[in-house]
Amino acid sequence: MPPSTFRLAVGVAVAAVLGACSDNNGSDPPPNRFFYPAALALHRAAPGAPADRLYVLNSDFDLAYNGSTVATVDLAQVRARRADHAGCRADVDARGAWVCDETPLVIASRTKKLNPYAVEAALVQYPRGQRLYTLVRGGNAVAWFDVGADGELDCGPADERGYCSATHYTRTGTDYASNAITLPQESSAISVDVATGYIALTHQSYDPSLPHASLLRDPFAGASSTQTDGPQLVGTLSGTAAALSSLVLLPPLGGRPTWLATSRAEAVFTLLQVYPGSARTASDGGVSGTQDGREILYRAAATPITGINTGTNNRTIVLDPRPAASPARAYVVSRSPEALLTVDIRNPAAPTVTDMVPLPTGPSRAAAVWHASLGRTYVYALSYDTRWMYVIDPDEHRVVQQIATNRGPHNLVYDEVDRVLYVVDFLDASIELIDVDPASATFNRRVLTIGRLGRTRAVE
Amino acid sequence: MRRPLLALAALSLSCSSSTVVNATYNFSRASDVEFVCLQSDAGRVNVLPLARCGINPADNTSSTGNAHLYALVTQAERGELAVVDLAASSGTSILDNSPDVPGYSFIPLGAIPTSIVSDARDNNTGSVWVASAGDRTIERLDASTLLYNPRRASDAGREVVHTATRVAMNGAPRDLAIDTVDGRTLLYATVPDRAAVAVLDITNAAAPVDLGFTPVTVPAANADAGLDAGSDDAGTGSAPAHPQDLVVDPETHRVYVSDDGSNYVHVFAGNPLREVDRIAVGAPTRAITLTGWARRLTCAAEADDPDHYGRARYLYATEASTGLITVYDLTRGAVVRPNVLPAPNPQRRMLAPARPEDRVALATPAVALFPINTAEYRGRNAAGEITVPDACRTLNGCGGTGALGPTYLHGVFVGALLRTGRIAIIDVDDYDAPARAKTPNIVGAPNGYRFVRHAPRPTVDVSSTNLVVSTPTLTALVRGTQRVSLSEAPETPALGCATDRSLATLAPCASTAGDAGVDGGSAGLGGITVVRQPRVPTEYLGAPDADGGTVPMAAEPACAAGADAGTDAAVTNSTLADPYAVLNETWTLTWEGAIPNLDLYGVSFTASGANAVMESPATDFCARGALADDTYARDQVTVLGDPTSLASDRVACGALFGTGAQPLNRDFVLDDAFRDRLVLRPNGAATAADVARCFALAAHVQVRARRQWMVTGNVNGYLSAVRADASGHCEVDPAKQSAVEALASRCAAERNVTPAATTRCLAGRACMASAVNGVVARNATPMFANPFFCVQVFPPLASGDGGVVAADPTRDTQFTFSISGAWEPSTIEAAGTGSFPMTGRFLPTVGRMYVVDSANSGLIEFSSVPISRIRVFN
Repeated sequence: MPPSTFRLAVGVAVAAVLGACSDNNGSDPPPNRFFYPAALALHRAAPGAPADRLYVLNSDFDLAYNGSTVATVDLAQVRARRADHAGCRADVDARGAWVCDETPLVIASRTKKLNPYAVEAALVQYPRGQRLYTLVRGGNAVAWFDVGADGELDCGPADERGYCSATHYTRTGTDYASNAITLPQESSAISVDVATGYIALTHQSYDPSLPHASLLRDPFAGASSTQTDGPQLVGTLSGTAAALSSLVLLPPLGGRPTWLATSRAEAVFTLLQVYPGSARTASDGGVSGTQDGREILYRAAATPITGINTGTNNRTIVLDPRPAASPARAYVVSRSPEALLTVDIRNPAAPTVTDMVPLPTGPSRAAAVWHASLGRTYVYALSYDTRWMYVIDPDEHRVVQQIATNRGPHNLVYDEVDRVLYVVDFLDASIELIDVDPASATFNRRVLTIGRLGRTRAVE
Repeated sequence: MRRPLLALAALSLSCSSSTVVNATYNFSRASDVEFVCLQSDAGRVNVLPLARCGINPADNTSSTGNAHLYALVTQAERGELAVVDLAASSGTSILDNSPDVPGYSFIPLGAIPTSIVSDARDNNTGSVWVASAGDRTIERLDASTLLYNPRRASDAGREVVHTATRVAMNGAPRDLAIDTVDGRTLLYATVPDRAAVAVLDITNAAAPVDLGFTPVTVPAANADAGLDAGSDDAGTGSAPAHPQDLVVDPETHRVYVSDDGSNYVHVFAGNPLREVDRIAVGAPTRAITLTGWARRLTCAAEADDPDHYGRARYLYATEASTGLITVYDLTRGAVVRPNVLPAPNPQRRMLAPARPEDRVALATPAVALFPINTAEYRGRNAAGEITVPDACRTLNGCGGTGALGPTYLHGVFVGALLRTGRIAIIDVDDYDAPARAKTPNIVGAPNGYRFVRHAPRPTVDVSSTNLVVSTPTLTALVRGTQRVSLSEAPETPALGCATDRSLATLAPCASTAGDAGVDGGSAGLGGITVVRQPRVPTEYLGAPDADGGTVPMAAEPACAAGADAGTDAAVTNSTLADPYAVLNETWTLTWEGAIPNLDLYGVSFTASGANAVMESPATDFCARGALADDTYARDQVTVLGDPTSLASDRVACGALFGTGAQPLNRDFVLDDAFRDRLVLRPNGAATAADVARCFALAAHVQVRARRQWMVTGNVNGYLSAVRADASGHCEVDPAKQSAVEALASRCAAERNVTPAATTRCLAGRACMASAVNGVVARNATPMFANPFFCVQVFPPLASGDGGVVAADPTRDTQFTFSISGAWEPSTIEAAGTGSFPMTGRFLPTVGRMYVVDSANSGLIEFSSVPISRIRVFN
């Protein structure tokens, strides 16, 4: 072949390859399957009503597809399957339980596509309506949805590739000094103060020079607000412990929204507060009784964790839900040592660990459930590595039950009306239902699994 | 020919008989341990008393032939029982009970086993009893089946069921204990969720008899009420308690039960079992143990200070939520104050000021307690006397090797397993106390004492070195945290010693390291005198032996009422001051230093008349030491960072307050101080409105001492004497302030200084005096004192138009020095970083301690002479 022809052939081949790559947008995620599910949220038509929708955040962890999804599971169908087991098979690992394919239970038409690596979700009931917030690490944003009365998610008109509208992502904002700010990387947890619309995030990067907490405000929160815009980034916070991993909203302290955060890098509890801005007065040109809107997130206290060997790897923190004027206790999942910590938070600025109960290897998330009929709180703690859910009675200082799970139990949400825990299995791409009704014959047992066990993603 | 030799060599190498323990992490959440002595004899396994099993210290093999000591370790995660041969001569110590299954398989138990005990009968049989919280049962295993191995020829063809009996408890049992009384063997179990103690008659182990549940109650109305002996108040004005652990007194057959739902330890006795008493210990408890008998020092000492010198047995318990250790004297029926220095320390102050006086002076919470009664302990003889071996009554100690290292255990102790995975040894009656006196003629024998207690007996020389105060350093802050050293000069402050300060006497104190001075002596190094208490008086000691060596100690004396009946004596009349009064610590004096924990973010300012009010949610200003008082201290607030005003105020605020890097006019003196707010005075340049306007957002501030030195220690911190009164106003705590002033007066007297009575300084702060005619007089300079040291501080001197005057140092100028050589209790690393210790046991028959770690380490073995880690089984 003459050199000139050869060069022409190579050029054509290269152009063909490049042309083909530039048009490859990857595979769209399946609308009715779970794939590396990471988070859950429950929808109710009204407060106190039975939950009718379960939102499953599929993370696309292996990037098999070109995005995460928020899938909507019809809980009426789930209840029906729990009762009649139609189309389901017996669960060989849990006597009396059933395994049902998720395909008929997911409302495929309502699935929404996000950037990859959606990791956490929070659904909030405001006076005006509901919003669902998701933390999306791909593209580093908070994606938000308006939630309709029947649970339909609205994230604006989809773009040409099917993703939620760019208007429903929050990535940037301005702080109190009018500086442009960007949402820090590696969002790990989200907590919303419904009363004020403040949304606090933690970020789990280990670099001490980076911000590890950020603050958004959603104008939708105000009862008299007419705003429909999404949450705005209003502040980031550096100088805290690195790798903040989880946070929980406490009762307001000094009238300010207050959160308690854990760290997976340092043995310290961090108390975060929001200064909501200064009151305006007529003398400064403002309207008396209003705030100047220059809110700031600050670290109110950082308390070293004492009494534990290292205490440097703390994860989930949840409040004790037993009825009380204000919560006196929180529970923290620790990985070093692997234990459930009981924390006295009567003085939130100085939380104190008062007890520890051993947990299996690799504990992840936990939920605290108040059993009124038993008069005690049980903490349900997941162990990702060993496939256990430990049921712990912190008052009795002991494990009361062990519940075997599927592979990779990672996150969970509690439905206090149905008295069920929904557990997401990251590796098995399934959702387990754990009956936590003390009056039930299947108390503290798995009763149903939604998914196709043994697979991590859909194989068509 | 060479090949067979090589093969033989290889074979001999592979057949090494050293014990091998593989760290293979077969244990899964180990929770408790028990020990049995088993003898394999021609295919039969005999269960023997523990005393029949021994371990060779040299190679850890059995010293009792084919009778081996075994550890039984419950595995909470999988509900199994691991059996460990502690005298294995080869292979691995952990027994694989199902060799057909890959990996180690242990004996199956009920779910979530929490406690295990065993009994060995006279007929070479015995059982193991296990509480299963998950299955809510107590199950019995025949101890002779524990070694069953289907691959062993002697076991071939046998069908073995380990669990012989299972008793349903209708509740989750937590802790177990066994006692034999009047020929009956009884098994006690706490059942917290039934608020009861269950009793099983296991005399016939194959057919245990359930004797029912005995309620554990607390008074419903009167929280301090105890029971009259013999009364039965069950159901009469009582509420359910929450029993946790239990311990049986083998002498009285009483059962002591901890309770993490009330402030009582419950006492049970009788047949049928009933609650006969409640001990008010002041807090909910969890772990509990009984000690052996401690001897009285002398009758006089016991009368003066029964907490430390009494003849007694003690009940030790951990507080449920804090892990602090409480001590109760069962003999005289009183809560002991182990954190108070022993008599005759006149001020009887606390060993660890940060801990309550009725708690053991340990900084780290404890999770488990276990008695350590070594082989030398014999309890009481038939006459009721407590005797010790003759060897323990000499300068050579129980081991006969003279002054002993700090980790030799002979006597009566309590092991405290700390939450950090370390062990602290609490001294109840250390038989080596005579040998721990300072004996300088014994070369290479460290005689330091490192136990915690009720404070150790004052006859013990707790340190082989004298207390040392390092040369004080003087530094100034230049930028951020960067400091520069300063030399003594007229323009620098100085620590005062023997003379007044003037331009002619600039360096009154020596600057070489050394002893800080003997008890009651003159001012020591660098102007710092370490405050120490006098040691034990001679009347406590009796007369030393004529040869100065071996003291023939009589049997423990009987004390006639009002008379010292004996010459029970320690061996030396030491002249060293009591080093327990001091802690090894670094102290810092900072001029106008920030009050610890009052470096605040997020404060807000509002204008209130001419003053600014500063608020900070969740901050207790009084508890942290802020004060606005003309007699003792009027602190100040420094505002930090950039102004956060509205844009319209930015220029004005910048001109008034500067920037965070170049601040202006940032100090505001307190007008008043309350628990939840501080009231600030205008500073002449800025008004309250200015502050509120220019620092409109969550501001960063520091509350600082004003024209005083803040004194802080890296162990004790800032010893504040400020509190809030009933209205929340910050005031001086008169008791704490008086105590400090008393220390200062005593120190001044020792240094022949008479500070002016009108010069008063707040506790935790040091103040200076002014110059008069160019001289700063010692007698005009307030004496700073805390429980550990005292010092006077002279100001810099400056020449001016009016002559030589005292000047203020630059803010954040610091003196720093350290005290070392003081007694500190040692702790021994057990399981180390990332551990989760659960329980500990001491076996006097082999002189070894065992710790169970629920995390990775499994079962850890220690020797006791000296204390050192030997092996780990996991």
